[in-house]
Amino acid sequence: MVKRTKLLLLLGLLASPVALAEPMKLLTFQIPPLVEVSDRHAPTGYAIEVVQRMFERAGDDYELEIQPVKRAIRSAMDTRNTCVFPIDRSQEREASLSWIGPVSVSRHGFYSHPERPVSIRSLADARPYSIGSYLGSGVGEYLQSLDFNVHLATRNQLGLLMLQAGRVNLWISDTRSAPIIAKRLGIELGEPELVFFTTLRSLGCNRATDPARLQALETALLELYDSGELQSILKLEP
Amino acid sequence: MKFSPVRFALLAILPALGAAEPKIDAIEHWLTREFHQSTLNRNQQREELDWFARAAEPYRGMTIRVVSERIDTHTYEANVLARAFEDITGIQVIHEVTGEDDLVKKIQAQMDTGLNIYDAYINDTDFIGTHYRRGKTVVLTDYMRGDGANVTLPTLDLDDFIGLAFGTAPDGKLYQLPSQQFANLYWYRHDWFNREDLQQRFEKHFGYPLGVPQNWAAYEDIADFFSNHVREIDGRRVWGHMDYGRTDPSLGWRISDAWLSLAGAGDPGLPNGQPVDDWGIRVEGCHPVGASVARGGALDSPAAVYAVAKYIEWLERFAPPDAYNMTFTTSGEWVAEGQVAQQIFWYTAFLPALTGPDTQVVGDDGLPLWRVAPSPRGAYWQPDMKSGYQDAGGWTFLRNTPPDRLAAAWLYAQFTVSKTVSLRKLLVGLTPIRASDIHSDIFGDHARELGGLVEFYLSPARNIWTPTGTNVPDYAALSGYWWQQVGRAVRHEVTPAKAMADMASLVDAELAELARKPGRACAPRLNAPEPRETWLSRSGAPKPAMDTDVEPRTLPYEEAIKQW
Repeated sequence: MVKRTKLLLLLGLLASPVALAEPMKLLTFQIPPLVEVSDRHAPTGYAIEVVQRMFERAGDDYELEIQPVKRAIRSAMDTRNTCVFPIDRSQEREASLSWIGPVSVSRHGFYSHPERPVSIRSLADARPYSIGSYLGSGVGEYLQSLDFNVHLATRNQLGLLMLQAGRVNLWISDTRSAPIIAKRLGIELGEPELVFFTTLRSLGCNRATDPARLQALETALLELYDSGELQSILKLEP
Repeated sequence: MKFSPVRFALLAILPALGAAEPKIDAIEHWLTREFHQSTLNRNQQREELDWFARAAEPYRGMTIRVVSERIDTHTYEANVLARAFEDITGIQVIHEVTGEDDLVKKIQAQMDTGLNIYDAYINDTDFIGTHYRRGKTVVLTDYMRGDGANVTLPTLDLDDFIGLAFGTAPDGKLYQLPSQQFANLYWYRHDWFNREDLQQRFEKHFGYPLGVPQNWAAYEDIADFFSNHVREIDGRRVWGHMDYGRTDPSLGWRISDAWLSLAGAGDPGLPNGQPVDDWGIRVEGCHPVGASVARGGALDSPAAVYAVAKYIEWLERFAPPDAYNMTFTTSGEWVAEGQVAQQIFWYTAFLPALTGPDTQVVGDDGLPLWRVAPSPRGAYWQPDMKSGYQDAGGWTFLRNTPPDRLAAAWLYAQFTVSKTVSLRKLLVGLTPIRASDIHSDIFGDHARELGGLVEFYLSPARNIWTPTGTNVPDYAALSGYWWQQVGRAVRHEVTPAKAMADMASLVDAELAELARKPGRACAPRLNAPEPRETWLSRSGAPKPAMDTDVEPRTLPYEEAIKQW
């Protein structure tokens, strides 16, 4: 069953050019620490924080809903005034959605089982191995496009369980998510063998959404970066 | 996508050195195993690599992160050169390889957000107008003389780079150091064109000899001949034209790289046309003043509409049906399948696929069945106009990179273009950057296998096949309009004329927006709009509509390449 949370932020609407517009529907998914989903309270996480600040500054409002990432991406493609975040922006996805971002920058690493280490110095070293990722992962799609042997699970943590069970040789994950997921599953996980790829995580919005509305959000986001406020939230690892 | 045959096969030859500390024998190891083809002698190579090892000492143990587009040359850098550099210097390099548009978004994001996303980019010099204007980019000329003097290779020999002008801004300073270059040329099946039966059949039907087309009228006839008259050769379906049409960012640079300039939409003058350039942007001094005909530009001119209309017409009439859904990457190696007779604009970056073991376009003697030649020109093209496009991917550094990371990345960048490694890199990726490599006997020995590429780079033509110039004030902001608007015309949602009219309006609006941003050099200053007829009646671009039904003309290959 899909967990559903709705937040309605009505901020400065009387003064806003979007005062009469329907709230934007934002779809998100569990990806700690970017987005933390809980039964007890509204989603938290620094991607949530960035998006919230962006809408506040633009004087716009939104409703938040939790969906599995693959379905969320499909919903955003199909439904007007709907966006999904924080998803990897890529050339392959560029034409399918209208983009606002980045709301986070992610580094992605190859993780091996502590008892079955795999030495990887460049991406090509991973080619002989089976790799676990999840449906909707831009990095998983990237490796598939390069003909790597990628197995896509429905959720990110299932990739780690596959690694634990020896069903894949490597698991790829956002380097900030991986230790959190491992800890929650009680699985020992070392440092990544190689942090091999970087993605810009963004809001991907339905292409029929009013361009002026999206532009206002993009402008607000850039103003937040200009002010220096977001750099402290994002804390990008080199 | 399918990578070319050289892609990861390179790993078979890699030495097995460790990563943590530079090994004493690392230099000898790499010189023996990989960099045995060089214009330097062994001692000179050793001295150069010794210098890298010494200069890198303060940065040993660091990990730096760089990114480039997805072509064979960069795959070689990522999988081989980064590893060699680490063995020799102790600096680990994560060299990411990604789609060109993804790279564009990332460098734009670093400029916009101030985050240190990468320490260096191999960014097309199409961005030179952006780097010059935004003030976010390290000026390499200044860096090499100042903070970076101690980490600048004494044997870098900038004068040896053939594409230095492409990364140089109007202030005369270098912003981008070329790491690879590839040209956009006409490609055709020389063996088929030389077949007597096909020559006789063509001449009988069209009334002139089958040969290298000199204009679009001849190209169209040849495309029609192979796709609709010949149809099959040796039992396989063949096509007289190849292109790609998927609504994707790479559709944008397909059009902006070549179609408008070779149609003749701009003005004569190198490198990009003056005062109206190959993007249809009019410039006064260094200030863009408009893209629409109403403001003196040519983006929605009859020549631009003719270019886009021909692109769509030929894609639909003559190209294989799969081409409609292809992109730059997926279509690039298609000609190696052996079913295409000619391609008006073919990127030589895909040359390794044509020489690899799976190619269908190499004869039993190991020599190519194809040739490259200058692309045919459209009806509006005039002498002294740009003759073609050349992509130059240049090492580019942003000013918000921490100084130690910048220094380490600059060392790696120089390593990838150093004379110790550049000839070997050229033989793998076939994207030359140094005159010394091009003139070397080793590269010359490969001329017969490369179908005219060596002759192109030995000629002055390499200087007049040019990238996007300095007139485009914000490449990232403007480039998206190309694929979005042309894509609508490809899908028949609008006519080519409507797509280009909308595009001209959007570009004008973006120029107006850029004009409002403070502190930018050579900022746009938009002309006031005037009636289209006023501009079309003046001399030069934008040019009024003309009869595009010109006399088709072909030349034998030997005559055609004399233009080089």
